Amino acid sequence: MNYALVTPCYIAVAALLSIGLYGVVSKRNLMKIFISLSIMETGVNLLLITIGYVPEGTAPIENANFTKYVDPLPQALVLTAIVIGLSVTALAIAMLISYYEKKGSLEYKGGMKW
Amino acid sequence: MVVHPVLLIAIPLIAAFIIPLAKKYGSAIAAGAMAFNMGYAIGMFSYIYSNGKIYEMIAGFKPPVGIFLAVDALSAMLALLINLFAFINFIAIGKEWNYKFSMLYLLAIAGSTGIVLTGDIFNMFVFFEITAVASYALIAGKKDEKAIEGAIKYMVLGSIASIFILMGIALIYSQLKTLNIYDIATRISSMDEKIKWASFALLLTGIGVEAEIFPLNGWVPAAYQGASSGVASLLSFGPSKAAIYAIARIMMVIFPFHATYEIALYVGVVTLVIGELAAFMQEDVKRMLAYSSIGQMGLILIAFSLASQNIQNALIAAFFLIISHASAKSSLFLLSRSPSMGGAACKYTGIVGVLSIIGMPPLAGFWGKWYLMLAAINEKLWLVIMLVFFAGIVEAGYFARYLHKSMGNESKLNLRYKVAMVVMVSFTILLGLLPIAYKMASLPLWGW
Amino acid sequence: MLDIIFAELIIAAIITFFVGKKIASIIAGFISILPLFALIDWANNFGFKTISFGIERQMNISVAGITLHLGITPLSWFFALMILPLFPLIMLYSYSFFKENDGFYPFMLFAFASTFGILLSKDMLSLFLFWEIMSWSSFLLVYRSRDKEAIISYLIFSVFSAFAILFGLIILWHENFSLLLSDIGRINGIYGFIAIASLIIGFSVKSVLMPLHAWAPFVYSKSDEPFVAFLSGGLSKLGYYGMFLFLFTLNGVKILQNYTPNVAWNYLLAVVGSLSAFIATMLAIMQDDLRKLLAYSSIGQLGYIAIGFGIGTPLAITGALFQAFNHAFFKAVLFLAAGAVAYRTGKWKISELGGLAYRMPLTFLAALFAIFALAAIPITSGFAAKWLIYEAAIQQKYVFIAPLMLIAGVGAFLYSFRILYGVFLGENRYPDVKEAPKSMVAAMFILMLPLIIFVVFPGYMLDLMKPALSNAGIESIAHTKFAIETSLAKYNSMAVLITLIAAMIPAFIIYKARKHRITSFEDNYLAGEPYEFHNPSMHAAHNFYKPLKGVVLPYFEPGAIYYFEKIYKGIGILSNGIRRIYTGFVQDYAIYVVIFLLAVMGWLIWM
Repeated sequence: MNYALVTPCYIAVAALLSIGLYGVVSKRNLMKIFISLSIMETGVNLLLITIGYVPEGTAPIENANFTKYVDPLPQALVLTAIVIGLSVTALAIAMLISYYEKKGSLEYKGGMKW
Repeated sequence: MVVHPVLLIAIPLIAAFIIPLAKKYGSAIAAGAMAFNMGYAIGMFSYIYSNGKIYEMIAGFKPPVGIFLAVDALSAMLALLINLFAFINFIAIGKEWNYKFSMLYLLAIAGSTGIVLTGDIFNMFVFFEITAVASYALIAGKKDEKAIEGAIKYMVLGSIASIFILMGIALIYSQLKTLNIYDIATRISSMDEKIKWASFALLLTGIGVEAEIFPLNGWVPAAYQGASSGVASLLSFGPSKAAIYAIARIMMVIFPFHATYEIALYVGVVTLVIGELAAFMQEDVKRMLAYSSIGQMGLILIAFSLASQNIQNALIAAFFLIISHASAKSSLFLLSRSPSMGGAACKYTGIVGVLSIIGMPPLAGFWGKWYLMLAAINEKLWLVIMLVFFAGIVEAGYFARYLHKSMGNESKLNLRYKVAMVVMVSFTILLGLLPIAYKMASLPLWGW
Repeated sequence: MLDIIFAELIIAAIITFFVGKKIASIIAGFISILPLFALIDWANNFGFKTISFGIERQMNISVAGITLHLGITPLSWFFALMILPLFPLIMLYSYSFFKENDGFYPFMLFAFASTFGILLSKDMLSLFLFWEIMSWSSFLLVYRSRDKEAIISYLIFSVFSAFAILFGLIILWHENFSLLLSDIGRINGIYGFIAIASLIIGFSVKSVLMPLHAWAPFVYSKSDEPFVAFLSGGLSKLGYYGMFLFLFTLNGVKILQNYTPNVAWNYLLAVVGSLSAFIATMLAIMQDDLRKLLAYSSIGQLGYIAIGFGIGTPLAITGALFQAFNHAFFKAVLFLAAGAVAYRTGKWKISELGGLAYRMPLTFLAALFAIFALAAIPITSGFAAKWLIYEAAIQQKYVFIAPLMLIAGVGAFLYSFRILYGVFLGENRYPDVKEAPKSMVAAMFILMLPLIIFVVFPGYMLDLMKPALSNAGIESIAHTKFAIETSLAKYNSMAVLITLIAAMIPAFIIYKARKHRITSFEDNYLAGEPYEFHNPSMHAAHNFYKPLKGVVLPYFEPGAIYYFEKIYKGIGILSNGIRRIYTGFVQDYAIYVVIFLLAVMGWLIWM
């Protein structure tokens, strides 16, 4: 796919994924780790939408004025992925509350090693 | 008689949604749903035993546009395994927690069954996520420090895994514009080489985090150690088996190339050796069993990776290894709840479970290793055979120490727990003696 | 009929799980006599006229979709003759030995059924299947001992032997795609070599050939005596059955030699056997624990069989099989006697026992005969066996093996004397023990019988061996009922016996004629010593062989057990290192995931 509009999107995807990964790996605070995970998920969602791009297509809603539509399937996939990301984030925050109650701070110290 | 596999997924989901409305009857509803599932899975399995394979379209849309469930002999066997053990496990632990536990349990089972039955790759992803989220919550349900720590580890790695799976699906879709597994398989050769390999790597990494292969299994010791014994038992036979089935299905149907089988073989061997060696010096019982699980998953992956040339032997080996590991490890996790193996039920459960994992006839684990050897020697993989033997000897070492250390006089388990434990471990004995596998081998295991 | 015998064994094993001790031992005792009927019946097929019960020779069982071919061969008939009679007698013995039934009988019956199955296997899968069932049922009996080293070492070595045998078997399968044992002969080349070598190593774990004997001192000294009697009398013979089967009946020797025509692998086996005999005998002399002494003595005596197989001439193999037969019975009697002593006195160490011959005369008599056979005193059957092996070594001019064997023979006498003197003779420290219970004594005496019979009829033993040997293509040596003749010498047991009796008669008459005077132990005039009850160093068997110990022991440390412990600790260190991979920080795990992804992608795209 060699469209001029699409390349910046792919670059954005790569940037989001790397920033997210960097955040997961190097941050101490658990909240920041989960936020970085959200950033990574956003990156992948962007990837999915970008793949469905059809040049000069419009939003995939039936309209008599347009003949070309962007591929609707990835948009459905992205909807699902967003919901999944939401549920994981919600569960993560609930667990962080519990973690904070037990340890007194959100700093990740690592446990159960070896 | 028409069999609708979708009921196996739908009934637990509906029951899970009903439970918050009827909080007091939570465990009863869950038990009922799982009993139905178990019965239906047995029925479906016997239908496939005599008829071969079934597929079902959801909502009437024909593939490749619609989602459909494709059940062949291996899927039916795994679905039966998951649902049957879910019911038995629930007998042991169902009354302990409140209704929330029942709900999460049903979700995890529905998700695992969905992974096993589906024929659409994004559907598989969705079920992965359902299973994973339910498992995160189940592990953390014990609410002490270790449980939260284990759940957090699993959650971070699981999220990264789901991101990678989604990337892999995106790459496949971008080239082939279809999400149906079998449709992808027929058109895989029209895919750009680099993107094909990239998508396989992404899918392997993503699903491999759930399937506990090295080096993606950092979460495994922490999660199993932190979870309560019933949840650890569920993790042994549910999500991990479904995930390794998913890897096998993807590898054998979509990417049946020599390079992928080779990678799977190397990864499997490394997983086996590292898992068993790491288990050798463990002091904590649950952690030791977790590392042993990693080793066994490596063994199952080796079995699947030999399926390129010797599909018959390799698949029978994988079948027996999955059964033996699921039943033995689950019952050993249930056993780990009591500090010592007192009484006849505990002692013999422990011994039979240990012997099955090591591979002593006539238990199911032996047939697994036997067929694995037959498949491996056909391709003259001497190093693989030697390493499997070495891993077996290491297993004997730490399991003997475990058996000795946990000799005791009394166990504080109630009757329901003991019954569940014994029934689970007796599956290795039964399947070692009954001729089911050989009949299954004559069925079209990969029928599409 | 054969399947009924098998089924009855399994059903009896399951039933004895649930019943009390008395009923369990009666059921076990009667059920274990059944295969003996089959044994007698099959003797007809091999040229001996006995009664016939109509038990068929072959049978195919179908289990789990696989057909197991079972049938009796001449070789397995001979080995069955030495192993199967042990069972009813051990059950008879255990009637009084155990206070309650807590798992002994069921697993013993499983072990029996699987032994019977091993002897009847005609194809590789059933051989391996029954071998493994025997492994885990004996493991469960070892597990009852609750001893850490015994359990761990037995399981590890059993699994190792199982895998070695499995490895050999699947190589053989792969060459021929047939599991039948009779189809093996057509392998050559490196695969055949590796297969046979692996099989020999696997079998020699069970038949305690050094250096794979490391489990034996722990297991033999801590488990129940009836089981140890079976373990050392019966199970070790199965290892040699396997070795004989693959080396001689199936021409393993030729396979080994086809691959390396210049290396004499037989000689290696004989050397290993002789070192095993020598070292184990020396170690046995030093032991104070009665059971450990018997364990090392087992290792030593079984080494003789390996020497016989290694030398390879018909004379040597005949001697080896004869020694195997003797060992089954005399070792069983010795372990049962040790068990009887412990049952009555509760003590294991020789330095704490003494003088039991006066209070337990029948046990003493049985042990005495067993020791005569062990030490190869002339005119016992043990002597005939060892004499044949010595003859063979001398004939082949093996200058390294023959002296080691002879020294081991002398050593056997030394530790036998230690047992006799320390446990049964010497001062009487237990004036109020009773004789062992009747069933134990009966079992020991019946087990002693074959040793006595073959004293006088060694030729008969060679007749019994003939079908097995001729099936393997080995000619039997010239013999009559009473005499064995080799190219170097002729041994006529009847002549020796008559001479002995003729010489003993005057001695007996002299003994009876004179009046005896019995003095007390403390009589200084007649070389007695003042008697102190509480000084252990005054005990006759305390620090027995101390000078020998001081000289010899430094050369035997460290032994094989030390190296196995080092290997165990080495794996532990490796394991500790690998555990460090799982650092406990989820960020590290995430980095592992990314590295894996990049590695797999890189591998796939650029290869």
